[in-house]
Amino acid sequence: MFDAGAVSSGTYTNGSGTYGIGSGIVLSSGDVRAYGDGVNNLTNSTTNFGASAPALNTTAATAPRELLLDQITGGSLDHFDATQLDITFDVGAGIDRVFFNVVFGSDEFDEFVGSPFIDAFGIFLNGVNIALFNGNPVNIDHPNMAFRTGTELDGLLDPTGGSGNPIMLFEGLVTPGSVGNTLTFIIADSNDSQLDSTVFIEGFGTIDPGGGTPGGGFESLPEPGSAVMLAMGLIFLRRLGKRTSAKS
Amino acid sequence: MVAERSKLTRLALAAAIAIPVTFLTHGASAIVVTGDTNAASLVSALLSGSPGLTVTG
Repeated sequence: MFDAGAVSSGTYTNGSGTYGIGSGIVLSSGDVRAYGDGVNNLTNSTTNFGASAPALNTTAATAPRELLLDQITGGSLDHFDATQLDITFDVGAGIDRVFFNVVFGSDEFDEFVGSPFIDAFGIFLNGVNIALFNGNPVNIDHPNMAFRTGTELDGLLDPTGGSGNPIMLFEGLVTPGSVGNTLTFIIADSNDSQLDSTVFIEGFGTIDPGGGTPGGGFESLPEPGSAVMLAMGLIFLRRLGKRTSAKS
Repeated sequence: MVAERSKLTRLALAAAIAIPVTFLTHGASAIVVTGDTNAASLVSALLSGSPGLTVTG
């Protein structure tokens, strides 16, 4: 499945090596065309997630997406302008892990750190979010968020503390020889659709693409059936919680 | 829970939204972004080409 705004996904090339990341794909809660490199013109950039008009539209996340995003932002927030890419893949007999390089940034930083506006990004491998850096999910509250120049993004999740390229290396375990592995990339605004976040991703494969800082551990994976049961239970609890909240 | 931003913040955001996207797009980018909503095209751009991995869907 692929679901996004009309302009919230794309590909990129990186001739000058901004951020040090190789060519790949770019996903956003806004308009990816605003995230070529250059001067950061605005510290509160909001771009159009959908078509050319209206100037800004707001698309609420569906229930299945809320289920994923709640795991990244704490469980009580609503999400908007989500862009999601799903991939199914098989691996050979000798393959036990897959890799990605990621640069995540946001215009929510740093004004809305610690607020409900904690835009977020996740990589769900067979139902488990493997996009954890130093044990924390990728959102603007992450302690490694920092100001970096290079694009319209105000801040990046920089694993080097400013000493190197702000690339996170994520890896996830798979069963050698397995078929039908699922992979979901998802990014979204939290609590409203204003101020966008964007992620650059490259190097999906069975070998470390190089240049990234390891995120600190990788997740073991539940069986697909277990993941489905867990998802159904979490959806039920979320709906129950919202009904209770609405009544009080 | 839906919290609201301050009035000043909302005014600043409204001003930012009014600026056309074309103003935000940089003319001489070294990161050159091309909008694309074709899943197969995105997957192709994402893959490293390393052996032992086959995308099936």
